[in-house]
Amino acid sequence: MRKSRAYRRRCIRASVVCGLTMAVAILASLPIACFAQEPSGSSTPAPPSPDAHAGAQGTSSHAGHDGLGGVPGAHSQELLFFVSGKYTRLQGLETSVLEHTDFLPTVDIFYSRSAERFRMLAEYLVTDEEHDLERFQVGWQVSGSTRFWLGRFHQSATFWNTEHHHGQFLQTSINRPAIEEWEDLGGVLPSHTSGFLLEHQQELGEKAGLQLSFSGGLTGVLVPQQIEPYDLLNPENGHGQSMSLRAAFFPDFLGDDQIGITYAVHGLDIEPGVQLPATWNADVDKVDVTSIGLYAIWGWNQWRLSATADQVQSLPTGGLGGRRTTFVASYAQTEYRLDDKWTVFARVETTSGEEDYLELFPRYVRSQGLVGARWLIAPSHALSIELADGDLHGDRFHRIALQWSAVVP
Amino acid sequence: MRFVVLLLVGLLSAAPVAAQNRVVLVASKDSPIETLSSFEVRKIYLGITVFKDGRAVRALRNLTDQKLNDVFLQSVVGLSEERYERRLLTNVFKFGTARPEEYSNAALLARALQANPYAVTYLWVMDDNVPEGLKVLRVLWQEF
Repeated sequence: MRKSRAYRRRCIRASVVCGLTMAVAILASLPIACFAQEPSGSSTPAPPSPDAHAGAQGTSSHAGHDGLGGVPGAHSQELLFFVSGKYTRLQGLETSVLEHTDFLPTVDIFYSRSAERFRMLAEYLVTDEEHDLERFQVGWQVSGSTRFWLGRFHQSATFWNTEHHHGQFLQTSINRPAIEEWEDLGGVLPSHTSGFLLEHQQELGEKAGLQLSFSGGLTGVLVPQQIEPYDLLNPENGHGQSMSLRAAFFPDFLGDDQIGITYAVHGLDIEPGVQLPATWNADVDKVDVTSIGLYAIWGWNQWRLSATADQVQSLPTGGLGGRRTTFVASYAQTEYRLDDKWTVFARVETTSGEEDYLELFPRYVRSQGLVGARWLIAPSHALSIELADGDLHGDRFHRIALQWSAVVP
Repeated sequence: MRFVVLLLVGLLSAAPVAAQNRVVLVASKDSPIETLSSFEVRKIYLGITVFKDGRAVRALRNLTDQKLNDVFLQSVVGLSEERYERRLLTNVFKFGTARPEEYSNAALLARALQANPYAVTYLWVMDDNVPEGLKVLRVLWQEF
């Protein structure tokens, strides 16, 4: 009976998210002019002319830009919906180990507002499994090259998460590498920090540049099988501490290519009920996790390579503590653009070293190889397929994933 | 003011028909901005903030002419339309800034330029005949 109720609740949630996804998808098919708001005082704009030489036809777009009836350019806002539907089929494992559901509809709502030096952004994720305020940042553009933020954000010591955030449409592959997995989905490193974030970009010479990102604040706690993110709205749930840093060199300051280093220190409190590794003393109530990593993103013509290697060290503390252990996680993903529409990709991931800390995360995939393709069916809609072969605690699995993703407007 | 806007609308929309030999970056004649480097132009059109006199420079995309847009993206920004749009999205997602406003209506574009002295856009000019009410900040591309 209980199972039946839970199942019904999940069905209702899935229906709501599917409905929301479909509504956004329908909105996506409407002409962009429907979203555009014109500056005050102008008449209703005509639809964009197919012949630009015809002159004053069309309108302004990018929804919400200065669409507040004020002076154009005084302030700007963006409202974006990243929507996706992912179907996953697993062989070799119980589905519930890696995925809670075969079909996962997702809506990621992003809003930002900027006015001269003021910045604000929020990202709210809704799936049939969760709904969370993933990011909420208020910032100040100190200078053209420096921003200071307060709020909840993705910690600095990762390339993948600070590039794609929760926007499935922005990433070529469907699933993210295991070491980049979100903490509440079985990831072994905290992804979110509530505190301060400092970002700086420095031009080097005529073309090159340096980007620095430094963040610190509160992060999640260890609960059975995962790290529970710190919830700003429920602070009594406990928290750990986090400090992270990323420094990247760009041969072309405004390009994509970069090489960088990451460094992070997390102090994670352990909640009662967590099954501790056998090598840890029973009175351990905290673990200090330090990661140091190298990454590179490089493109040559139609090719693009992203590669990362992270060394993660953990030290259980409290009571008699436990021994310090280390593992190394790395992945390399290569992408090849066949044309403007089609991209094929492949990725290998591996983790090696001492398992103690990893025993806390039964959903962490130790090694994985995958291939896939992404078809850009419209400028803001993509279909993707991904075939993976992986290893979870010595159990091999095969996974096929299909995904539709889009961004609206 | 109304006359200037009307004149601008006519010139903005007529310029591509007459001749298409230069693409220039322009601002309102009253703009305190004197010039922008090509690096700064790329920055603002990629959604990265550039300040002049403590004010943020606002990039406006001129979509009244497809060829103009193509030349601008290829020669100035150095990206295809699809890659450019994706890069803009990524930067919006990362930095919380807004994408450059897009105008496929010359009247709205002219008004936006006149309303904000820190707004810039790009257009065709022939034989240095710059539309009245505007000033050239930089030549971005020239047909040889």
